[in-house]
Amino acid sequence: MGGSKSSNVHTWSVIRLTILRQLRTNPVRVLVTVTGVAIGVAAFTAIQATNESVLHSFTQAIDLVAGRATLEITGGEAGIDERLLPAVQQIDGVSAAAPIVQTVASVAEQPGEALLLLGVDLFAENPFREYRLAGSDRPPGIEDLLSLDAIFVTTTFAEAHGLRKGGHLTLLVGMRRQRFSIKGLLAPQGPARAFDGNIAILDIAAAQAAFGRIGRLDRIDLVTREQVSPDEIRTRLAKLLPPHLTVQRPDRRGRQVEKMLRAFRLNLTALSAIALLVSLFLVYNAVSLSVLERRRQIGILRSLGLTRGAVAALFAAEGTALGLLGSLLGVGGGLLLGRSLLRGVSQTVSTLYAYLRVDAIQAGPVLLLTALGLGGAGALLASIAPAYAASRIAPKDAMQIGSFERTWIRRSHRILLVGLLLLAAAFLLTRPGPVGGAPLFGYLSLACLIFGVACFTPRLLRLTGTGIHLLCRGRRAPLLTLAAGTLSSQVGRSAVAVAAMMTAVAMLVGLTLMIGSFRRTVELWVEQTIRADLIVSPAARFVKGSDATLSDSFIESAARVPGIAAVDPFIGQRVELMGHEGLLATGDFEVVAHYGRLLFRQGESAAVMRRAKAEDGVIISESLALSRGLTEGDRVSFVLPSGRIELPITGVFYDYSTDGGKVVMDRKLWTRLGGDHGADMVAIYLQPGADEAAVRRQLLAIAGTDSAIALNSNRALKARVLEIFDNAFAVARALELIAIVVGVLGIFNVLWASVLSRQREIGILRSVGATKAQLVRVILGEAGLLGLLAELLGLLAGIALSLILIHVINKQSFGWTIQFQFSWWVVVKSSIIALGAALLAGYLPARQAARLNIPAAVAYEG
Amino acid sequence: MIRLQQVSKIYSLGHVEVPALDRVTLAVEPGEFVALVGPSGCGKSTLLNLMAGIDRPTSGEVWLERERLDCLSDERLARLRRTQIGIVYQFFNLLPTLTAKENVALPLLLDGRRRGEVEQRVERGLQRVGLTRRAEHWPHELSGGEQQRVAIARAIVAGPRVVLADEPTGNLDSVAGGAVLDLLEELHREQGQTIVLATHSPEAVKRAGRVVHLRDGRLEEF
Repeated sequence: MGGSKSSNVHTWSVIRLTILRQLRTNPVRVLVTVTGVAIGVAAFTAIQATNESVLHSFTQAIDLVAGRATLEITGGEAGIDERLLPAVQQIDGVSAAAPIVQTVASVAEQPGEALLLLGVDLFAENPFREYRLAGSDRPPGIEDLLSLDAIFVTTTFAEAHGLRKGGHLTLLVGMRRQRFSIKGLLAPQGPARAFDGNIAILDIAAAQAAFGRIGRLDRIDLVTREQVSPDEIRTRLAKLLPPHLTVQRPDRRGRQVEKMLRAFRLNLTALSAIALLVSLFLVYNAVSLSVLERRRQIGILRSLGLTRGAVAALFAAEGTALGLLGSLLGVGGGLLLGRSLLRGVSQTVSTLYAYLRVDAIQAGPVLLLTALGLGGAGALLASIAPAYAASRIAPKDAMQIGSFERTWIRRSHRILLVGLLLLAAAFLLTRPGPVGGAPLFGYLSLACLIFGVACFTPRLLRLTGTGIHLLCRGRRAPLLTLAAGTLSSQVGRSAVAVAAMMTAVAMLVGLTLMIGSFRRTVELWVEQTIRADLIVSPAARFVKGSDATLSDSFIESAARVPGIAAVDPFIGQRVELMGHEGLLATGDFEVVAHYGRLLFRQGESAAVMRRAKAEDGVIISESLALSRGLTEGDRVSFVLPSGRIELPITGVFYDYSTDGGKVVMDRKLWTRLGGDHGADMVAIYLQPGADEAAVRRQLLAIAGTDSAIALNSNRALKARVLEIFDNAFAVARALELIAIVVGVLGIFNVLWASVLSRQREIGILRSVGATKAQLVRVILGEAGLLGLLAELLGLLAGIALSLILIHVINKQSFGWTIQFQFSWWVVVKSSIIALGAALLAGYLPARQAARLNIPAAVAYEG
Repeated sequence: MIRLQQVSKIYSLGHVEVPALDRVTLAVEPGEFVALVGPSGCGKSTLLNLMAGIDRPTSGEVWLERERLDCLSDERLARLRRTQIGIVYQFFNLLPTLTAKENVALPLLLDGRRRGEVEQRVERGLQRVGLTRRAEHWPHELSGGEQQRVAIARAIVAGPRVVLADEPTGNLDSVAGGAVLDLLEELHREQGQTIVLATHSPEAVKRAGRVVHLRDGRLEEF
């Protein structure tokens, strides 16, 4: 014991005398490396915290709104006939049942602001949820409670919008603007805490009237007796209920949300992992430079009796210390960064998946420890190779810097071979399909690609250096010759920095190409498929989760407006599609065949639509076809209130509006199957030469004075689709930037170390007559060459990366076919960024070199 | 040619001030071969550095012909080192990433000379030091003596007014050191090259026309 303690003390002393002192004498590198790790860890933490917050907001809202309910009956968007309620209450084992209708409503005059409206039977709520009125508010009288315009908002919401008890709130619900009277403020407790207070309660009858859902419920919450198992009650209920209704525990919905968001979250996680990876390259680089600079010290320590293991431990400890310090800062910074990303991410989730309101960042201890652990463990992993290299330095070689570089040159063949193997693996890993719906092999392929290309850096550095040297031979380009000479002679220290920058460039190029290709594909799709001249929808529809509809009478009247050639009412309902949630939609196939156009995998639009109509078939989205292995001629099944339906697939069409899969049937078939009336939106085709403005006026007149319908022109809708697209990729673009910043820090570290280690060379140059400006140009030339190589490799890796993202990851995650589009702009953009960043990174080292004291630099033996 | 008047140089090491040269006055005439001798740390290298314009005195004046080095801009000093002053160091100080020929060409290339002129002068320089056949070799492929001869070729390639050599034989064995001294002596004798040589070597001292002693930063001329 004593011996071990004393050896610990000795190790600590050695660490203190060598590592800590060295860190102190090299503050610039410590600062840069720690900052780099901090940025990478911050990106990772921010994305994870944002993901966690989004999910937490959903599950918390579900929990809070579910209250003490042990089971719930849901009916998708088709809903539940309210006449079932008394029968449910009679089931043995059910001690209480509460009806719920809910929708998401937009706040009039405040675009983008929305709240969840919960219509409840206030007299049946007690066993489920508790509502507490704020402050000393007297409970409202029964008339107030049940009046059709009564609403209760939370104090949080009231404060944010300057509302008070007795005031009014106008909301876009259904097709109308509806003015509600605030009868009380809810203290932040129970359901009032859901969605950070963006929730309002109203009586169920008022809600059914307001939402246009008379006689229907969205959910029935149940409290069951403890003595009876929930499964037993489910069996009893199943006998009573129509097949489209589901009985489940409320927390199941949380899992559904998690499943729905999985691909979205996984993609963001993968991107943040690349940022983390770039920062770990930085640690590898910093420790390698440290080993290189301290070869003498290692030699001395070894000759004084320090073991190989202890030398390795010293350097591994140094890297881990840098990593942990950076991770600590990164976790803190990540929470701040997460807060600013949260708005964008929650907006995207709200637009694409489900209504969400989240203001506070959530990061549990597990997440924080994971981020810290990943940073620390990653740094340790990144330090192992240089630490091992340090332990192999023989005391007699320690004085010769050249031996380090010669080892690298010897190894570059082997590294190249590993690189080729990794690239082959990257290619093979694109072949297997997804694992549990996630493109795990795709991500592995990305990792192999990045590491594979990184293995080419040593060889390429040497080749480029030698090549330029040969080209410049005898020419008047001494500065370039010098820069190239350094390049080929300092492969060991430069290779990893180039790899880090290459990774950042690859990420930039890959994402730009993928997003660009995707956007172009969506643009084409929008251009070809959105053909209607006007799209009418309830204004409330701009928020996901709103189920506002246009009435049949409105649709019929609209069809008769002079100037309108045809109307195509569209309904979309979330249903269970072969085990997963998907969208069941309807349209008028004859109108689409005549005026519209969908892009089918096989067949021409009009012909497929007419055949589907004639054969009572459906058309399905490509994502559904891919995820369920369906093709033309197969049958697809789903559950409607009228029972399980199975229909033949007439066509598979490209669709980028949802990643959950979509089945579309003709409206007549839908009506025959007992589907809902009305429409979520109506596409309107005008007669040639019709006056669009006059048609708009007519439509608004039909809707009535208090209506809240939105009329979008063809152009406006297309623009809206692309706007949603751009918002969805805003976070990815932020991560791109982060990776570039970390890459720049890597190049800075190398150049800084290079200037420090080449003081004598710089001194010689100055003493034979190089001016400060010439010296700056040499260092910047080196920086530029490093940047250029990183750009070249990054560009190639980035193109491959985008192909993997497009053809493997996106395809397996979302089921979308994206047409790859190469853009020369990405070459220009990435070159400017890579070169600009490298030159920026070289500027300070160059200035440092120019300030060098010549006599001191040339005086010692190198 | 080179005149130092009341030149002092004080180095600051933290809070301590270390005088390296104390009011040194010295003149080197054109065509002279001067040996600076004295114990280690007496200020020989400092004196050479001041003459080369790679360091500035704390006080006093340093003149090269009509130019006062201690007042010149950094740019102008760099230009002087490319054309008027050749420097040879104890540790050869060749750039490891350039071949022998490229090392020799460096001052001319930095000066932006034409390709033809550079090639002609480099060839002549390497011929002068007897290393034409080693032109394409890298420094690590050359012996110490050969490296020092390349360094001398580099120092004389632009036809400087003065060659300053700081312990040029200090890192060589006696044979290689002798050859280097022979070379410097030849340059002086045949071309009238002005040479200032800082040295410990009695062999070197014997070849100099004038010997200047430095002790504790002060001049003791014999």
